[in-house]
Amino acid sequence: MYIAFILCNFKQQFQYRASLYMRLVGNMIRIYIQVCIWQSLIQKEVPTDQTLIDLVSYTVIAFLIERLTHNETADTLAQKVKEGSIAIELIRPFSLKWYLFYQQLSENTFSFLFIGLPVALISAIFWHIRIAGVIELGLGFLSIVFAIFLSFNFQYAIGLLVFWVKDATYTRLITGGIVALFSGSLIPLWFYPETFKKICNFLPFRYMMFEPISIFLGQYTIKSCLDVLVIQLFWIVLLSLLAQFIWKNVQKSITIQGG
Amino acid sequence: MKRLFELYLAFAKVNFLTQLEYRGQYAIRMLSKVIGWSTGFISILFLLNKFKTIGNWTTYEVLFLYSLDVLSYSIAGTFFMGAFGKLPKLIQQGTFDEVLTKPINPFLYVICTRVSAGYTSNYIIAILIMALCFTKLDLNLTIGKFFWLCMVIIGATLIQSAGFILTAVPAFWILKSDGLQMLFFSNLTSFLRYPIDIYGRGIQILLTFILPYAFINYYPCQYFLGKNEYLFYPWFQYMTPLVGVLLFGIAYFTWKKGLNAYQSTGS
Repeated sequence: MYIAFILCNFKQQFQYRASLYMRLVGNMIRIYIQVCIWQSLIQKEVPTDQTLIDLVSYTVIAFLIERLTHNETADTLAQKVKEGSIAIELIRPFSLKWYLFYQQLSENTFSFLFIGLPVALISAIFWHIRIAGVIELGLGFLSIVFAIFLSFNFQYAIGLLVFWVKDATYTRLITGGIVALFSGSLIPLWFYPETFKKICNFLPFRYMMFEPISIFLGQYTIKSCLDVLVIQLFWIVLLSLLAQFIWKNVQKSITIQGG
Repeated sequence: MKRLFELYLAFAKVNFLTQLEYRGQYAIRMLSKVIGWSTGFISILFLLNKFKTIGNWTTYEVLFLYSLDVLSYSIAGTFFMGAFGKLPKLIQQGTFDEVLTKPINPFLYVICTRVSAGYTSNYIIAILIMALCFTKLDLNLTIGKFFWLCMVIIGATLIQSAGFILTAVPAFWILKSDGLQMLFFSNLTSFLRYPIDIYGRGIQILLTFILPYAFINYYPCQYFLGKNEYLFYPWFQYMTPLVGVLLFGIAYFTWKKGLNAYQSTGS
């Protein structure tokens, strides 16, 4: 299933090569801006525990994770609801959730391989990037896999709201805003004000971005790494139950447009 | 001209009314926009709360800088996002033909029919933050300065609008230009969030002479904040309205060219 999606998607994407180059350039710019900001901030007299290398590495890993957790489920759903083709999806012998998951994953694999990795490589040439060790690398990868599931379950649960809101632009803005703010994708949680940091502890979002990166950077002992993985699992279960609950309600109240 | 204006009003009214018709949806949209756009401000606040200054700019100076960007972007978006954001799609699908059959300048037609009411919340956020900066920074807003601020906002809006137009128009030739739009709006404009003196010389030249985006907020802010570290020439801080008019002129000219080159894809 996944393989089929991937092949189909790659073919589609390669059709628009110009668009791909633009995305490469655009993302390179984003990383460059962020590095400039760190360079400008870190030279200041305010002391930090993190070095410029840490921050640049953080930025690049965050960018890679973003490629993998990027999510347009809400848009896909909204499109289908508007056109009425959602009716067909509902009678397919395959759960809608996993259909959406594989579709998203295949898109993300593409953007990870052809945008994420090249940009990361170029960044590694320009700036110094450091990752802790082999064990951290392994645990970090596992943690990213969990982060993918975690983020998907959250986005999917919110995405289901388009059955009522009918327009994905807004659910996207809301989830985008919340994730950007609480996950640490814009700014590492190290620099957050204390109260805000505490709030983040009780939310699932830091486990989508900040924690996996911290593992890669070697900020944690092996034991705390394992703790992170367990908490990630806990949130995955909780959010998929939430998604399940919303989905039940959708099925009850769904109205199909046109035929 | 008078007829045009009436036409615009009629379209705008219909548009606003349809968007307001779904009140619950409108509320959710406003809420989502507030959340979406305040993250930018909040991230600036967090960073500068920790580091105090960035390239000699303090928290409220950076916020002022950013609010000018958001405000001009939102005003430009109100009129040009609906019209030009979807232009590549219209051209691709061939529905653009319909526009050409109307007995009115196509440029005005696409704008008038697609005015958006969705940016109200952005105005409010941006203006509130701007006002906050003025009080926090003890900037004395005299009538003269207020007048100049309005001119700067108009100029900046024209620059942003030109951006919308110039990134959409290539679709007349190559049919698909959304990659270009992405590059412009989600990547290049993020340079504007922070003072451009923190970037390399190449970027400063790019944003001043090639894509004069720095005139949207960086240069005019120098005047209002009384900064005297000039990147190129001190008189750049007064150039925003002129650059705006010029760039918009170029954008309009390119649109004309594109229109002439337009070949329907048929449908």
